[in-house]
Amino acid sequence: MAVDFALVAETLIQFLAVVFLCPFFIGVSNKLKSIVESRNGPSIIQPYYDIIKLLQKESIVPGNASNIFIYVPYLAFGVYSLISIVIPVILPQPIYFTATVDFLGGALLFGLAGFIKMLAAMDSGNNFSAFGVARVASFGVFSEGTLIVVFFAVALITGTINPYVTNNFLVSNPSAYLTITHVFATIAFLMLFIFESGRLPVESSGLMEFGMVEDALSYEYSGKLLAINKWGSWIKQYLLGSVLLNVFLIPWGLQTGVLGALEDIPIMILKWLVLIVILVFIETSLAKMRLFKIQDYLSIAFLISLFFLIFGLVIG
Amino acid sequence: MNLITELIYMLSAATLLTAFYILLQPFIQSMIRTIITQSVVIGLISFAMAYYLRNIDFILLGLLVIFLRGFLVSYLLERQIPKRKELFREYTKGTPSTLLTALIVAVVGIFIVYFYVFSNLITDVAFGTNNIIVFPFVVIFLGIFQILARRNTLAHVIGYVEQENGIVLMSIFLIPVPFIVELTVFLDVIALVLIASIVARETSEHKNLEELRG
Amino acid sequence: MDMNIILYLLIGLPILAEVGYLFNVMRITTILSAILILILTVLIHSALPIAGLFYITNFNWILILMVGSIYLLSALFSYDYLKERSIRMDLNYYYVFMNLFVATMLFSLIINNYGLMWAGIEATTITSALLVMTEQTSISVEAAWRYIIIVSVGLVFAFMSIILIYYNFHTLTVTQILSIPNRSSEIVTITVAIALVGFGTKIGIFPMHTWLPDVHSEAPAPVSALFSGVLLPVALYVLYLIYQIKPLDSLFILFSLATIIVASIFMTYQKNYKRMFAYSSMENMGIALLGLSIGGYGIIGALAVLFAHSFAKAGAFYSSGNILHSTGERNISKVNGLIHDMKTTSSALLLSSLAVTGAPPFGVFVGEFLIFIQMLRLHLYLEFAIVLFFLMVAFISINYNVNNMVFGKWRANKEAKGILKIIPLVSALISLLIGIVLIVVIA
Repeated sequence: MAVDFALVAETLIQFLAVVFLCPFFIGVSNKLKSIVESRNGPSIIQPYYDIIKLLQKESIVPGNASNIFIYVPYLAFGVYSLISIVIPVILPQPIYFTATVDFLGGALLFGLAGFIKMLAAMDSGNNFSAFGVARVASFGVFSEGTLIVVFFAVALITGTINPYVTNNFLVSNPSAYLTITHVFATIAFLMLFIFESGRLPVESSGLMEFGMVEDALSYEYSGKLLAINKWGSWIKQYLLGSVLLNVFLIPWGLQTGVLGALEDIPIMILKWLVLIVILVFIETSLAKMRLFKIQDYLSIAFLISLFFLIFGLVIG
Repeated sequence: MNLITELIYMLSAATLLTAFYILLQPFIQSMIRTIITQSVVIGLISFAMAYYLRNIDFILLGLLVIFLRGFLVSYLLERQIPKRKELFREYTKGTPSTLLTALIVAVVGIFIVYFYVFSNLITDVAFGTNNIIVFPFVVIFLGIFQILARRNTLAHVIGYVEQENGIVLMSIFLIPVPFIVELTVFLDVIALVLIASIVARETSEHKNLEELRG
Repeated sequence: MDMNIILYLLIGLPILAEVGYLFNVMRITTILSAILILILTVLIHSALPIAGLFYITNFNWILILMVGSIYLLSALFSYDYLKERSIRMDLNYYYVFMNLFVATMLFSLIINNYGLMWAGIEATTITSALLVMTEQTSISVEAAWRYIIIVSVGLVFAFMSIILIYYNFHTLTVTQILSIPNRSSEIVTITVAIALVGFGTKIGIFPMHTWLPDVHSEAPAPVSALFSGVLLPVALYVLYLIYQIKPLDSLFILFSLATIIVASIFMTYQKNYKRMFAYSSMENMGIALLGLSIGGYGIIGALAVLFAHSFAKAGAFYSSGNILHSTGERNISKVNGLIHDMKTTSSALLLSSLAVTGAPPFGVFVGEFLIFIQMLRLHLYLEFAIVLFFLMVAFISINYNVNNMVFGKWRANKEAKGILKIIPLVSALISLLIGIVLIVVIA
């Protein structure tokens, strides 16, 4: 089989861009948030420093943890890397691995990564981790459901669950972009993304043990393993955000070809800036929620997606 | 699909969202604000229909909805809230279960009422495509569900106003009834809300009474 | 004189009577307006049928007569009764709302427009809700609340049917629609079915009846009489006009049978006598709806039932009001031996309970008899057997309870004074008179 070098180059560009750009977006978002809160805040590239710092440190593993605990960060990172080359997060045309999974497969891979992370957290034997696992699992009832239903909604509009075809379809049919199903699927997905990226004001992303949700899963990790874990979840954020941008919010503007792939990187940065501004606005204007209100919040997102999916069926 | 029909679809979807929001909202004042929003959205739909059909009647109807339903009714309701308005609430629980039940109610509304009954019978509607009738039906059903799910008096009245909004929406999409009838209906609803709020002053929560059983 | 002016006056009189509020003479103006309405009603009979802005036939003329008579009786009864009950509410207010209530009922009876009829029926809810809570106990407030909410939700569906009528015929004028030759279509079928649910709520048709016993048992006696005697028939009339667009006889017969069955079964275990009479009203409405839906003699029968029932039931509620005031008890088992001290009231109660259950010489019996004849002519044997059986159940349960209340061992009671004891007897006797006249006419 002849190796198509352009395809290899495009694949590499997409993969490397995802892996090495995602901490940058976290940094930008933190910086913007601190500007809104009128403080100076850390530098934009602080997340890179964090990674480097953690990578130089020693990892400590709890005495009664098994090998699962050690391997899971790598596995999760691997799963996220795989997702990053099968959906159009940078380049709007098929690359090396694209034929392997569709939207539904992507959602299942996200589920897989979440599941093994929960497994590892349970394996650590820490009470707080178990706490967090229970929370993540009970919130997952609605969040995973929303994720899948949202993709069904897209499939309903475009007639396919291939993300690349979807993106092309939305670019060439602006009226599909305005259908009720698509608009409300976008809203539901945005709500889901706000939750998944830990931006709901419930202290889910702080170090307070009682308010932890996602961070409780990496509570026992340290050093290199923690770095990998963090990096993996940043990739996840980037992937979800890019799907939101490229399939739901702003499907336009992506270039094709090898050079196009390079051009796409600044385009994606611009799109992300828009998203970050929206997110920071939402994050800073919301009042603090009680932890158990997350369930209500997610059920609303689920309802919106499901309800307007049904509406899409009726109205057609 | 052109832009104006798409806009009408969007606004109708917005009325549904307000209906869901009212269902979940424990604070009475916020519910009243939302019913104002819903009425204003219905007024906007009426304006959009006026543009779409080039018919001046709809503008009149829209103004009527916004001023009589939106502001007068809500003013009457808001007067009945006890002191510390923003804190007056009903203790609700179980948002996900309420939502899922509401979803079932709405889906039943769509499928039974629309698919099996109306989609084949009502074909010649003012809006053009008859599937728009689904929205008013769901609003009416959610209004009934609101009355069933709540115990607070004002929440009941708001559920009733929501149903009337659904009826107005239905008449906008199907065929606007004669203006004099529409006006008397509006006045009736206002008077009913007035009377209901007088009753609401006597009692704010509803329980099952032994004397009124069987 | 132009007929329309008389008809405007008919609706306007109760509203004109509100002037009395300014001079604190509401009672007198109300009684005056009731008498004038009766006179006007008799006057317009020669000009029937009227079809224009208003629509009056022999059918609703009788209903207008009923409204006027019960209005007069209740206006006479209310003042002394509510004085005795020492109500906190200003009695002038009470009369203001009663007049508005009657005006809205007359409006929905004579207007020639389905949409405005709906508005009139909705307005009766508004004007009567405060009358229900005249006594301002927490139970009566709750009853009034249920009445407002349940009936208005029902009327939302009724308005849906009005929209569908307009959608189908592009007019709401009753006479125009009824003169269209080929009215039948699937959408009209659905419209009439929705109207049955909607207006059925106001009439007290079975699954939507839940407000009815609460309101009738908690409202003061003269208001209960107005509700049961005329409000339910007025709503029934509006439903009947919609039914005429397309007669869905099998559906209507089904619902009326269900109403009769459920009301009779509920009647058997009632502890509160006013509640028991409320279920009896529901049963009579079921019979009237049955009569209207089978047509022929059934319509005359239904009219006879409604006409006689309104007086009889008014008598029953007035006398139970007297009993309630005298004994302070709503419970059937705690009231007995009325015949010893309250001779007039208890004989009125006895007569009117015989009348509402359709004992032979009374008007209700004649109406039921006509309906039965029509049912047998249409070969509705099963329905006939069911109705007959459950009428028997109702007859036995009401008269058994009333006998226990009236007879039995002596207990000290105080007879109502003056006009309070006469009016129940008068209305029961009117019902008897109607029956005798009808029998003579038919014979």
